[in-house]
Amino acid sequence: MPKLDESKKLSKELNLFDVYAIATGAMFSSGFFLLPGLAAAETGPSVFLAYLVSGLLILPTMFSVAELSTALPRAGGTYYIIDRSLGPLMGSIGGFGSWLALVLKSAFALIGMGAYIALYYDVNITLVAVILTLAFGTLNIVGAKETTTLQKVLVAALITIMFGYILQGIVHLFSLDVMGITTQRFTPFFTNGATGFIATVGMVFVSYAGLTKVASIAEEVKNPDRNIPLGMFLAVSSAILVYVVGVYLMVAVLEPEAFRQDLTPVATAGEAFMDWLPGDLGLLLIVIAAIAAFASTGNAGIMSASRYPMAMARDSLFNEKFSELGRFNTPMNSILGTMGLMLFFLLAFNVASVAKLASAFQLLLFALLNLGVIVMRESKIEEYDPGFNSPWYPWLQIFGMVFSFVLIFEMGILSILFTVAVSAFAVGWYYYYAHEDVERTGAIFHVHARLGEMQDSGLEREMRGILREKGLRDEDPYEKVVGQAAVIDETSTEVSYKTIIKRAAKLLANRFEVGEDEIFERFCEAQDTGTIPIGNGAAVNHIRLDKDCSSQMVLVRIPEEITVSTENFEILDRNETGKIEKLRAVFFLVSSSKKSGQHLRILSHLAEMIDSRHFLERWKNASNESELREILLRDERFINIVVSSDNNTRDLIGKKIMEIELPEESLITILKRDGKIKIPHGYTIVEEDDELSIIGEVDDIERIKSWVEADEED
Amino acid sequence: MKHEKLKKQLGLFDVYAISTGAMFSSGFFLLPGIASSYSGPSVILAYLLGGILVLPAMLSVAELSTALPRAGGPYYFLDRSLGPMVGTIGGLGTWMALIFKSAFALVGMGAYLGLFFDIQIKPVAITLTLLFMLMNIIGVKKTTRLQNSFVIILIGILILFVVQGLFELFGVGMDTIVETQLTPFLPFGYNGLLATIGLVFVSYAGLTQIASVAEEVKNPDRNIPLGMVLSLITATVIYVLGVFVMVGVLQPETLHDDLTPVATAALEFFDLFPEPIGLILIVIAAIAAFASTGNAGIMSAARYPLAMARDKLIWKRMAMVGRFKTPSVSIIMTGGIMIVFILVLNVENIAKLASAFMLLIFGLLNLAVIVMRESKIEEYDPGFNSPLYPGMQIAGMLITTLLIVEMGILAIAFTSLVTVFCIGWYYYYAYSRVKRQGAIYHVHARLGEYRYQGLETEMRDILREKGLRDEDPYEKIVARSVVIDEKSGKLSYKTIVRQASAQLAPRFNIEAESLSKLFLEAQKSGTIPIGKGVVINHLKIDRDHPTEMALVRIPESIDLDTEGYESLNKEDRSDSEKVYSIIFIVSSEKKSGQHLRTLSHMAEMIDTPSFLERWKNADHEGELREILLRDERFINITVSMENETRTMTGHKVKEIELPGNSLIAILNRDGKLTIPHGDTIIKEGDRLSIIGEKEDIKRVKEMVK
Repeated sequence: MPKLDESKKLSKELNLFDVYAIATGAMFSSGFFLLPGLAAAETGPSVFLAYLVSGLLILPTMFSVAELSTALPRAGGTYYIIDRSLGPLMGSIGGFGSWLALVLKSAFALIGMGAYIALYYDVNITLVAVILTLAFGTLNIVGAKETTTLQKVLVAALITIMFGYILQGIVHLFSLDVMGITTQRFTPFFTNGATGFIATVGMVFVSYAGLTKVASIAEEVKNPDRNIPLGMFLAVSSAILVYVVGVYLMVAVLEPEAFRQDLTPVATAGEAFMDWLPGDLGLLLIVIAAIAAFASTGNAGIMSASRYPMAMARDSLFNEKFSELGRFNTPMNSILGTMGLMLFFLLAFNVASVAKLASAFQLLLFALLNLGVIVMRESKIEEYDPGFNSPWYPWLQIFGMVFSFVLIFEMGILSILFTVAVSAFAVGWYYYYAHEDVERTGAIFHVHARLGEMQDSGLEREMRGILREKGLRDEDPYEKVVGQAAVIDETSTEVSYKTIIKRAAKLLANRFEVGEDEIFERFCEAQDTGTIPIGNGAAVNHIRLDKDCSSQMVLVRIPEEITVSTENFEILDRNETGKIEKLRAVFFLVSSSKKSGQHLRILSHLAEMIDSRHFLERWKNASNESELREILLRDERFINIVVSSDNNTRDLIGKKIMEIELPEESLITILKRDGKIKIPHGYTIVEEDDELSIIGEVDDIERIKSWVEADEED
Repeated sequence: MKHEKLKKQLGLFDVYAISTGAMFSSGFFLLPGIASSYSGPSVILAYLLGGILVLPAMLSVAELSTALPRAGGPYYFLDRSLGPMVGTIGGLGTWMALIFKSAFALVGMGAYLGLFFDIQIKPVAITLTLLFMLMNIIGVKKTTRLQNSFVIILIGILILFVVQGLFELFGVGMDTIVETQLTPFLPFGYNGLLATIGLVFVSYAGLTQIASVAEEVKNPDRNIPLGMVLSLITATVIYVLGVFVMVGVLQPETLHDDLTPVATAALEFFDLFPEPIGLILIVIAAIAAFASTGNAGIMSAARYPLAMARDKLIWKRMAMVGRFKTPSVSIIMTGGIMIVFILVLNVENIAKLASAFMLLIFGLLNLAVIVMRESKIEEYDPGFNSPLYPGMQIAGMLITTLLIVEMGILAIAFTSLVTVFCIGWYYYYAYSRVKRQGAIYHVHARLGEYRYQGLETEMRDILREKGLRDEDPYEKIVARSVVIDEKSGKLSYKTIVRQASAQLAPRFNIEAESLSKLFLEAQKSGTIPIGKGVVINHLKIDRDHPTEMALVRIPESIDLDTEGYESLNKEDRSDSEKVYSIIFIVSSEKKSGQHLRTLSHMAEMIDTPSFLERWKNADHEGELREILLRDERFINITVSMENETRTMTGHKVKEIELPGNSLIAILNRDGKLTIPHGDTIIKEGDRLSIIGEKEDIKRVKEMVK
């Protein structure tokens, strides 16, 4: 990733108060001016407590965002953080989702503003919202500093009026009988019990969600290490204070029934106690505050929303045009795109109902941001160097994730479906547009790599044990493989392990149509991987080739033992700890890599055979090739018969192999005539005194046995 | 690992009997009434959907048990795939859940008997527990023979019940039934149906218990999947048709409150045999069902302590196999706890809570299949491969999550509690004894290969953009740095490293030899910036000491191979670099962040256009340092009689009061550079290099004017 192009870099011009104003402005809107009445209907007077609780519950996410934005101060914060920590796929979801959620929220705020104005003047709400969108959009294009200047004015007006409101309210309350009001208005405190309260916390929680918008403009903040955490903290403190005390006042002052249906509770409550101001001035002030609140949310929303397409375009997740800066050093195309989408929503949808759907997505983002902190820290990327470290790591983050998930379920099925739909779209977009161009992966893979170092190879060994216990499957052609195995009965006593490999490779090369040298090299390499079983005087060297062919084996008997160091081998004899093994037998097994399971089963069965007590004794004393093979066969699946005219086998004399009808799938694998062994083909004619080795299913072999024996008894 | 092995002696019908027996109990004999009060006639649909939704878990368990046929199946799968901590949760938790479930079945059996005879529930339950315990100790084959007869009786009677019930209903006429009994089909809407599915789903949960005795099954590749499928089909058919009969025969109001709906329905129509044989048969079936659940429960529950003890998660004694080749200690322990629970607790309530935990285990088992397959451990070789992988498993996880949420806050809280207890046990008892890791780490290792190094580079750039922090003592480090102004033209890189190490080593109280070795090693790690004629060799060591630096100037350039370095030249990457300057930085490991910031600031300084020119032409040590300092945080003044500095002459350095925290870093007297100490006396004509905060340096500047 190259350094950001100077031409695409945003200028650093926001200070502490700007951060504060953006965070505060983004929070205050419908959550305070519209929601308290609806929320009170859910839980009664405890609604102010719900505001307090959800304010405290946003803290984990706030700390996480503060840490991440000081470590990675880049535009489109939420997107950037999720992309770099969890990878571009999640980044796409985070980016598109946040953009959409913000656009909806801003559109909703502007509609709310229109609605507030419409309470007192006769205007067309949608028209007002459209005009405001255009105005704020233009301002955003002209400059971040200009945008935030407006923001600061709006927030200053809002906060001043609200503090005045609260003070006046408290004074008013103390002028009345406080105790009387408390008992009268605040009982019963929880009208719908714990469930109602929890649901209300969820409903109210979204009022604080604007707090994290700061992350998306982090790139433009001066001295981010100090200004971002501090600005967010101040903003959340003012919000909690104003929300909690303000809602408390509303509960205290208003009739419960009226309050629970009131869509402008702040104004209604204000009328009750801001009566000392001349005329309608009190009410007017509150209307101004509300308008300032909605306007600042809309303004901050456009500002931060427009950073998302820009950031995604920088990372080639989106059309590159969106990352260009205009002549005012602001992301002009991105702002225009955001405005366009907002206008589309305003004109085409009932924004009020659509905006609510985005809240579950917002919560999902919170959970991902908390996860982001854990991933970034655990990746142990040294360059991750946050100016602010979240306290109580990782518990705070875990709590934030769990809590966000719990609340997602509170948001209702429609909201969850919306989240799923947006995510599905983002995933689709990613694979359609970006997947091929993007090669980066998230820090989560650094975490995987670190965790992967802890992998336990004992597991493989244990499972190899299980494989041996389970044994061969019915369909495994073990007998066939052994039956067809090439046998090298070495007579020379001076032979090295390497020579043996070379010879086996030569035999196998023909069968697989692979170069002799290739097989030889593969066998030599296999030796160093620690997967070659050795013990009881035998070693099983085995490889898999990328060829579609059935397994093949070579059995080698060595007259005088070769000494091999057992380092890098898998030792079969668990009690033996010796460093060398005296080999009398070497087996070579080659299979197709497509039949990996079968290969391993045959291998472990071989190991099982070698492990049996008399193996070495029998092996040493076997008198010919076929006896060597027989040692490895399973008695119940194999039989040797001698064709003689004394029993039923006389029927076989003079027949071609292909004419002989044997039960089911059993077959003649080896024919021994006059002490010479050959692998018969279909046209070989069986003669008297031939010795046939027949392999097959347990039942079939039994039938052959009884067929042969039955006649002898006659 | 060789351990005391269990005998392989269970055939297909045994597998079928264990699964079927574990499923039939309260789910059929008690639940239909309650469930229908949530969902009306659609309870039939709920039973059908419950049976379908259990499929993913069943397929996953079938795959895992054929791949890893070991006692205590679910525990073993979770332990080997997700590691011993999750294994402990799965093992202890499932054990507890099974004990509750079996105790509940036996208490339920007592209760059923109590409906018709006047008996004490608890003594009956305890007697049964002891009986089954004994059977289990004597032999698996005996236990399953008992189980087989229970299941044959149960299924036989229920088939009679269902068949006659259907005849009865068809006799009345389907249209009438649909009109009178089945409308409205969904009186509580889809939410009611969903909640009922959650309630009913647990009735199928016993299906997977066979996994815990997988080690004892003959030809597991065939018998386990087949037995499970057969048993699921039986259960679904009987559940659905049986409930259909109940709904069809009984008035909705009667059904809703009925705790023995099967018996009540039987009274209505089950007259195949003379009275009261029909009712007695149903009671026998119910008793067989409860008994088989209890029996299968003890059987599979006892395998958990056995398996966990084998793996050192609990006491070794539990793994002992008795003279009947059964895990007798584990069986006695299981039975004992069951008796205590029956005596002390309200088993019924807790058994319900435990069902959320069973769902969690189902979810994890689905995950286990994904982990085992994705670990690409070659030896994972299931005889039965779950179809539609991984969609099936993902669906299974989603279903169980959804149903857990449906179970309500109490059940979730209980699950969390059990989980926390198990984690506590793991860390208290097992953590230090257990070294193994789950296959999930194999998955991590595979995923780790996708690690993207560009991320570090990008973040290094962010670090550079952010620059130094106010608290970083960059100026101090530069001012204190060792300067080696090499005159000889013929020098190797190694010699320079040795020289620098020799000078830096004493400051860190470390051998010069080992320091230079570290420097030479660092070179290959790809993190040493090179470019613009400069190399910055840097390392962190385990010493608590502030950062130190050595600056080396080389008169004639050395050619260095840039492979293994991080190139500073963005455009033209050449294979070798002519180096005029080598900078060494050593920091304490504890100040890793500061080290990187210092490093990236150095890189930033070197990146300035005139750097190399100034470096080559610098007159002396002091000037070399000045090149690296930030102008606004550093000033050079000459002590003279013509300005404010005259007050300094004759004073010791420690007596001179400078603004803020600024300090005299270097003193240049007659062309000789020294780092002044407190007692050095200032003379006229001395050149002082002062470093400090921006504001303070400004004030010093004014003082000089």
